[in-house]
Amino acid sequence: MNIDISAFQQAFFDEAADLIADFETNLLSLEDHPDSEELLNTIFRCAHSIKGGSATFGFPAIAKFTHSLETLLDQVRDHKVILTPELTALLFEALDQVRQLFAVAKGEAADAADDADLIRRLESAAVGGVAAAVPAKAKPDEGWGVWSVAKRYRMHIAPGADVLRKGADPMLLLSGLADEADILSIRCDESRLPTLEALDPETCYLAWDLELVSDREPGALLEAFDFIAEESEITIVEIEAEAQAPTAVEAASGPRSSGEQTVAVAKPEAATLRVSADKLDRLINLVGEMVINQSMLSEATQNFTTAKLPRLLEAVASMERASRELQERAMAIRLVPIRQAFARFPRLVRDFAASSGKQIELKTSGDETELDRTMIEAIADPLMHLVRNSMDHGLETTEERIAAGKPAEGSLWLRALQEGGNIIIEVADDGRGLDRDRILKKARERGLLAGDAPEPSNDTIYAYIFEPGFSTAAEVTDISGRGVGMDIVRRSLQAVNGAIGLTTTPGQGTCIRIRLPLTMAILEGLSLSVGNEVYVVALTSIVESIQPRSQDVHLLSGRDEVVSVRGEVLPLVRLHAIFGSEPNVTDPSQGLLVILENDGRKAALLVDELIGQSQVVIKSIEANHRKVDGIAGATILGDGRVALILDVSQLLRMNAGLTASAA
Amino acid sequence: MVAFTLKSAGLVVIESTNGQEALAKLSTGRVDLIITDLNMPVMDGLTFIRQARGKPNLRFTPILMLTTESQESRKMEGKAAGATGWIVKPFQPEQLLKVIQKVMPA
Repeated sequence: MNIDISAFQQAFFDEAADLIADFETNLLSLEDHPDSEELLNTIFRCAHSIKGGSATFGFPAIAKFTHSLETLLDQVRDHKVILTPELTALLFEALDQVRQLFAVAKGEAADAADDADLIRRLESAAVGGVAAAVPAKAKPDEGWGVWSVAKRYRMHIAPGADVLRKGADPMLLLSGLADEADILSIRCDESRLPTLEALDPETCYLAWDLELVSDREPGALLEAFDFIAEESEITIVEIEAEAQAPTAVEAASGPRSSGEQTVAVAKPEAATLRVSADKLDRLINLVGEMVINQSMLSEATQNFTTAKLPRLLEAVASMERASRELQERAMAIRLVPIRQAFARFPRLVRDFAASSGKQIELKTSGDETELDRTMIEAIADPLMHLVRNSMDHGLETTEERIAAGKPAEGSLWLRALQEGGNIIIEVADDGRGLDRDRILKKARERGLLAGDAPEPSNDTIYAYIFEPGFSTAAEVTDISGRGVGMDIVRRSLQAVNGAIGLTTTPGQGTCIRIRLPLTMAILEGLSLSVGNEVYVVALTSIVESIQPRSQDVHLLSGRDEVVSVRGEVLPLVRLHAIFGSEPNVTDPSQGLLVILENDGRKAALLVDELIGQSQVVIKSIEANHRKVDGIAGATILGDGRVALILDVSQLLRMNAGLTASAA
Repeated sequence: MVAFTLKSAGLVVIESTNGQEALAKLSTGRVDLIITDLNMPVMDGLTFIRQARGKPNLRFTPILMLTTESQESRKMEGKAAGATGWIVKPFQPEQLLKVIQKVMPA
């Protein structure tokens, strides 16, 4: 019975996160279908499971809160309480509190808002009335704080009759407990003690009841008794501090600032990944095949004669097949449906619509599209930003929409789809579109475009919104428009090798398109050689490769080399000059030029020759050595050599800087 | 002022003028709560907290420390030393009672 439950807590947190998400999704649908029994039942089950789990895993605060939530839901389910918009709002509020409580339980937040008032409202709703929120919550004022209070426990220890014969000494164990906890009282239970004649000196008849104070978790205290746990009866219960009676006088100092919430410190989720048993089974099957292949190989190479060559080749071919599939399957384990990233938006849109008075309908598609887990995490904030932008700036108010002859309700689309080796995510709205003239004006103001320069193409103009500090928002609102927007979005997407672009039609809407690689760990690359070194460039940033004629290469102002490719003049980047390696070719017309493109910036990279296209596994250099400019990582080639993977966007920027400083 | 508030709330209070004196008074027996200032002569608050945590009878006793606004970094030192909570001087009696309610065993 003595199990350290903390080991299971993480699994419980994972499950609870799913349950909370389900709760929210179904509650959102319930707003549109208030009569659905099925939705109500699902919501009730979620609350019920959270309550049960939190009680089992030792989170009484969560259990207590969800209990009152469950009671209310039960009444709603039985039609004893009618679901009103106020009640739904209360349920959303309760859900946020559950989230907050979990953040505290996980140690991400210091303290959750006091939920006594919310519990009171849930309870009164369960008997039929929605009580008004008490405006002043008993949240501590800035002025004091409590980190941790040692807990009180009541413990019962009844060692099995045979423990003495097994060499365990209960006294020793009790004094071990005293190292971990402060024993307030101890009472020895002698009721099992027989008369002296019947007493077997080697049998343990005694049991103890203790009251103790400790800052340890119950599981840690029980550890002291691991040795005798099996045959003994040992229980530990936390004595909850009596419900604190609210102080009659509210502290008069300082009004409670609105929106003050415990802010969870951004802490990466514990890196556990739940994988479907199905995916795992297939993986294990493949490993089995690999083992068979391996024995085929060793059989074929033992006492090798040329006669065995066909069999060797066959074994190698089948090994290759299996390893490729193994790689794919292993990568698939990291893939999770993008639904996880989309799930937070229905609520966000609902809350925004409610507070802004705009009518917004969110439509998602491609929820099942799978994406690398790290990628999902990386795009969460950029997506949030884009959605907020669309709602705040893109979509007009209901009056404006009606005046423009559009449907009163604005539409917001979140779409995900797979396109070759890329995942495309689109955030689109049918709002007013980008204000081309205002962007142009702003660009001139900020000096991005010379005041007298001719108007560039529309695409170039719209791309200005991705420049740092560029905001056309007339006024800064709560939601967005602080001018630190789109360039951060773009940069965080670039950090995961993604790209962003947009299309917009005045009066009809804007569509932001994000392109992400399927995974960050594997790169479709082109290997190229310079001298003895081999470099790999992501295929996505290569436009073409050419062999220039010597008359196409020019020297600008005597030092910057450029090459003209079909009329377009591109800077010529000598890879060997950047990395200081010894090339075989220094004359561009003898080597090859690989035309690279990134961020709309192009350059021609001079290399000795192209080796070939291959999938390479990216190994971090930063994690093992340090960040090297212009290098995204390294990989191991088929012949065992290490090749560096070029960071094209940085390389182009470095080159621009190099020439700028040289000029 | 602290002692006055606590006594008014019906609690029994033992007072000391510095950490050394407090440790001597607390060497045996049990208290439900310790409140200490950080700036004290002879033995300062942080040293006191650290030493108290080393005594078997004070290991788990809630210890509140009184800080001033400017001592944000010392709050963290106090936490590391083993303090249970903090309250900023000056404070309202109600605030003190509220935080006490939070940390004192029922």
